[in-house]
Amino acid sequence: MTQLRTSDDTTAMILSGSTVSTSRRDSAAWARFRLLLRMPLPLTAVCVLIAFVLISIIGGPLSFHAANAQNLDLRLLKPFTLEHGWLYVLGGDGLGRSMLAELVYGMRTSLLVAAIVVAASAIIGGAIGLISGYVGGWVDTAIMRIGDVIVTLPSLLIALAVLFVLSPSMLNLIIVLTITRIPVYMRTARAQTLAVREQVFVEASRALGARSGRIVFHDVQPLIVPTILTLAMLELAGVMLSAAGLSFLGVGLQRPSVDLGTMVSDGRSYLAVAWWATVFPGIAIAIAALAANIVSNWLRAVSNPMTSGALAASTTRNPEA
Amino acid sequence: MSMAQSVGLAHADETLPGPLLRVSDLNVSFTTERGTVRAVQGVDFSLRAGESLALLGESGSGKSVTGKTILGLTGSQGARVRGEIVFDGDNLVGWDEDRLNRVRGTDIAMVFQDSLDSLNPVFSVGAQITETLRVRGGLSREDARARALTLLRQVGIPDAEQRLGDYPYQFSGGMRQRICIAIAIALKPRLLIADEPTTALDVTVQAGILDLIRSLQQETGMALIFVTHDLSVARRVADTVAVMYSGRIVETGAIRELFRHPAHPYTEALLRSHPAAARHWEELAPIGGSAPDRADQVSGCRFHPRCPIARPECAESEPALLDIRPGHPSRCFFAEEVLNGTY
Repeated sequence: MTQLRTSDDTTAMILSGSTVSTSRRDSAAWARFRLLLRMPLPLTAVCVLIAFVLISIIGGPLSFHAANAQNLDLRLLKPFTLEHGWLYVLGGDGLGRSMLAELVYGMRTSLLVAAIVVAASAIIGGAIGLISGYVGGWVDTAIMRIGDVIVTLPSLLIALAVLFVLSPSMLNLIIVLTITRIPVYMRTARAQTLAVREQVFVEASRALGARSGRIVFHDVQPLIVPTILTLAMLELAGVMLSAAGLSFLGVGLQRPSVDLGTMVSDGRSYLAVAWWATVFPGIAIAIAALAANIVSNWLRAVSNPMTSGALAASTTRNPEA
Repeated sequence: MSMAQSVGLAHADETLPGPLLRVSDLNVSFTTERGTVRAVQGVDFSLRAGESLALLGESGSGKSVTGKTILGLTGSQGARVRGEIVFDGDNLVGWDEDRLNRVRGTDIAMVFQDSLDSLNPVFSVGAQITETLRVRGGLSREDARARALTLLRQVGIPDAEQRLGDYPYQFSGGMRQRICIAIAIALKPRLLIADEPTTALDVTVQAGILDLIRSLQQETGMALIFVTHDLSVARRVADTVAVMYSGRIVETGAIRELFRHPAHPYTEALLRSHPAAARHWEELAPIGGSAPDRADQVSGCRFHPRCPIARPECAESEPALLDIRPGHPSRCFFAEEVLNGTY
């Protein structure tokens, strides 16, 4: 009896879930948002990312001047004191600049560079990989070998060479990082496409008279995107660090521009005397990366109808249990 | 392969309108690392509107390849196709994808074996049906939705309205196959090719799907090619059966005639190996050995290594597909004896 009842309850739950989703047919995004509200961890991560973006947008322009104002009296000022005004609440760096202002401005630059690089390389690399995998043959071979060449060359070396010839600027930094990141997405998208294109529904689609373009971008693409999205979120942190490495070598961002990576590498020379010059920007990178990863994991789960159904069921059952 | 072997329904009287589909001397070969594999060799058959043909054979007999080749689906798999596939007066062999796409779905549609895989897992079934209707059928969003509902009801999906937004994984295997059938008949094709659509299903569900296909065929007057390895399935949906072995048709005939009076030892062996035979307290007789991997490796009659009545001449030359009775050809030297049970 009890068994019967539980299965009935589950059925009822699933049924009510499906009617909710049909009555809210206007947007799948809304359903995802409601789902998000019931899940604390992804919700926190999303809030953190939104907060970082807001701080960057609002605080970025305001902090630009302060982030470059040097006050040598306040060199390596210890943090957590309001003696020198709230700007120095997180201390000062090696040249007596406000850590707080630098962090805000650095966050803006880092997020901007990382977001553009990740978006551009994911879209370009994903599209190339998708087409390459679907078309196959010599086109595929040629594209993948070009990708191999890019992977074989140390990306730092390409970046150094390119940025040395071109002048170091944010735009050039973005272009170079994008090119070196494209193969990652290309390979992932291609591998997924190879698996998906052999499935019967692709053949069924062709049997209904769908053109290749439609099959690639309408049938195969939706199954590739979740993986690419997850990968892109993971790459966010990696790109931030790569940008920092280039800045450290002097071909990335130049003062007065500053990003979190530059701050970490600048602060390294004072690590023994002033931990805060590296730890604060480091923590900022870590938090942004962690939040991005949690969001990516959640996105992957909800973009798959099977797991998103399970998520919805598990979160609705909890309050009643 | 001489054209004089052209068989089957083409022999019916000439007053009726011409066949909807005429396949003649169809050869399909694939180039593999181990050389050329001739999957289909000299297959001939024809089909009128409203007729139902079962292509019957075991794995590797070329029945699925024949079905897919009619829709031009083997071309992208590297198949070389020779012969003629004349649909409504046009020879489809050699058509490029663009021209084939105009026929696919609207004139000839297909239902596949694996119902879970033939639906895209990330779209709701409603989206998948309406997509076909809107893109190929040119319907508006509302009209497509209304038509999708009609189709789902037609194929027997309960609560169709509520289930339009559900995803394929939320349906059972039988229901998914019904949805695939709904998509296949959405554009009112004149020929439906069903490639073992019930193989992955429970026997109880099978019967429902078969009856559905049969009744849809009779309602809409479309022709049906049913690819299967299962005799009882063929019996349920087909008017005519073409038995294939190792890439060739070995016997063709009206369903009753062929089941009662098989004229080829392979057909007879198939009938005796079917569990239904056990119901009449007959001994089940499995066919010894297995179908040749590469048809070319067998000389003479392809079936002779497994044939219970093989004689030396069977290994030397291959028998032609000749009429034993009107409209009932068999590819065996001793067809008469098999038919009369006197070997």
